[in-house]
Amino acid sequence: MSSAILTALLMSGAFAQDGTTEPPPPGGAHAVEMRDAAQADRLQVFAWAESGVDAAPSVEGTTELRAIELVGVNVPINNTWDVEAHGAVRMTGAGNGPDKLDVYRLSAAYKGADWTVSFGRLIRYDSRGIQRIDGAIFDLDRGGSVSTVGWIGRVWHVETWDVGNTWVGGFQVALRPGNAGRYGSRTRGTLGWEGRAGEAFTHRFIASLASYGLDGRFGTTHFEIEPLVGEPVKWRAGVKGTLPVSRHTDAGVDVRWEGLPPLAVQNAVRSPMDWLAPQGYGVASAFTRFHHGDLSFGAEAGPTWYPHREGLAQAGGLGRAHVGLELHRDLGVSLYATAGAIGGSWLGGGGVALEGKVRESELSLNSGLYRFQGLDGMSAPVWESRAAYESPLWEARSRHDHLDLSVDAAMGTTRMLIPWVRGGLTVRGVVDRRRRGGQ
Amino acid sequence: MAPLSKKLSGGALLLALAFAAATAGAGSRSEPEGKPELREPLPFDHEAHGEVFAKVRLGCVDCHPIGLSVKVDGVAQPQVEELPKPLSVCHGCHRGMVKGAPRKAPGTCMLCHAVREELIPPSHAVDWLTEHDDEARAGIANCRDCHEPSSCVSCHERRGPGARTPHPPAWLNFHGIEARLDPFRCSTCHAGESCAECHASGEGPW
Repeated sequence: MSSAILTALLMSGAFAQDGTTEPPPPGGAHAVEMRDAAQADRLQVFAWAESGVDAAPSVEGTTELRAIELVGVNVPINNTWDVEAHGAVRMTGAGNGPDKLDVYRLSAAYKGADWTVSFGRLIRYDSRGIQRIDGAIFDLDRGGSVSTVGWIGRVWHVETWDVGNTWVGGFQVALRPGNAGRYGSRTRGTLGWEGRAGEAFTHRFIASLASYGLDGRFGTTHFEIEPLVGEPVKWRAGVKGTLPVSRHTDAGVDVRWEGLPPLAVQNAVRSPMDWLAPQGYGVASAFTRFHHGDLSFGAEAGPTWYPHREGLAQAGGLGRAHVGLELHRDLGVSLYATAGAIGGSWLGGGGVALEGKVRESELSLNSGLYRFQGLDGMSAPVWESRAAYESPLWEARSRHDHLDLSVDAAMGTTRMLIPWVRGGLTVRGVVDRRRRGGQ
Repeated sequence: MAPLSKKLSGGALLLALAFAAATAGAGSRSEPEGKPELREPLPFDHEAHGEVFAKVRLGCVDCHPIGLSVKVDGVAQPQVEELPKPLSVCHGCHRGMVKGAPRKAPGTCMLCHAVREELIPPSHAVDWLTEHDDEARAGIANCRDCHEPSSCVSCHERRGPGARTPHPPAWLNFHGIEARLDPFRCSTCHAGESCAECHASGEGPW
């Protein structure tokens, strides 16, 4: 707690220079932005820091004190170089020193006329999902209808960090028919290949297609196949579409077959997919969203199917729905319901959620009551509530630099009717001196 | 192997058909009503743009289509119409949309736009937190045009106090069922160690 307060005071002191010692330029915030934009050659920087502490239930059933000190910086240099570093130290237990050092990014990118090369600790994403690598990404985009990206590196993971050596390398060619250019085309297709070397070498072929309309319709499909000599072919594929069926209503479907190990974890690491669905599974859902005036409604439901499973549950399903009402411009309330079942385990119930805003401060609450039956066939009522509050402590007139406080708490009971409580406080400061950005 | 190949090609065909049905006519509907409101007066400095306009071959009529069709008191008047293509003319340099755009062009949206909320894409609805991955993975969106670099890290990498959770209510009790219903999604952020930490320790009531 004291570290959070200390950080707040230090940051307040650092920021005070921006707001108090500099004479206000004529014309208010807009004039500040114009002045900033005109100073094109000055150093640009985005920096953020957080200090947080919370008390959370541990596996042993006791309450554990945890703290985090996080810093990040992004420096674009002359729109050519982009240097980025984000990391944190975490502490568990009162009075203990740091027990975890997390490095989320440590990278530099160089932007040429038609290409960009990034290297270091990176994150990349494509039609298949997120991939975190220590390596390099080369992006060639000449602004036309064809662009190419290639990557090579060692896989890292945000929970396992460095376990074993899993190397990946691949490329993807993207086609944007119709109006050329990143922003001009509403359709994008990709074809690619990736090799993966760890305990064994595997490779995959990748294809995807996505298209959207300005009215909200969106469709995406992906296909990924891993041919292995002497073994059954593994693959994953999916299609998802959203269609505005009326002025106030959207509806859609999401159908997937998941038959490949996830690309985010190292080969030596067992993922939830390896534990629960090594031979693959199919999952589908249909969803709809309605919004008219102060009233909103949303629902989704669909099945899961494990065709190759023996001894364990082969089918299950999930459904969620909510009805929301905006009581006031800054206050909304909604009722929600959740149900899901697989094998002999199921959960059903619902609750109420509240979201409010007072000036720049935001508050959200939700609380629900459910009935939960575990794999052992025993069922019990369970309860869970969450609350979060965010408020600015200080904000520069330009709105680029700010210091915020957030407080959150959660509590409830487990199926064994054991109560639990979690709560924390975080102070976050941001200094944003970039030319680009939506601010 | 042959039957499997047939199954795969059949599946791919079905997927393609479903995709075509879902997106048929994408973009053919009318665009959203109204255009984002710009600041009045627009903070445009003609003198500062002279040199670069000459370089990228932009002339007066690219922003001011001048006609002589309007007469006031019998005298033809220049008619200055609405900016015809601000997206391509202004954004070409200021959002880096054209090849060879000057690198010093400031890209701050609120320099010209008056209402920040009008710039929020229609896709960013209430469920955007759980839905944004589709658009991001499709490569159509450019998240960093608007979002600060810490946005991804805050949710996707950060752990511990203050971490934002994308999980819906009742997660502590519900996560086991949802994990068995869709384990691939868990694997985006979690390794198997997350499960083992509680379920294999033998110390908790699970």
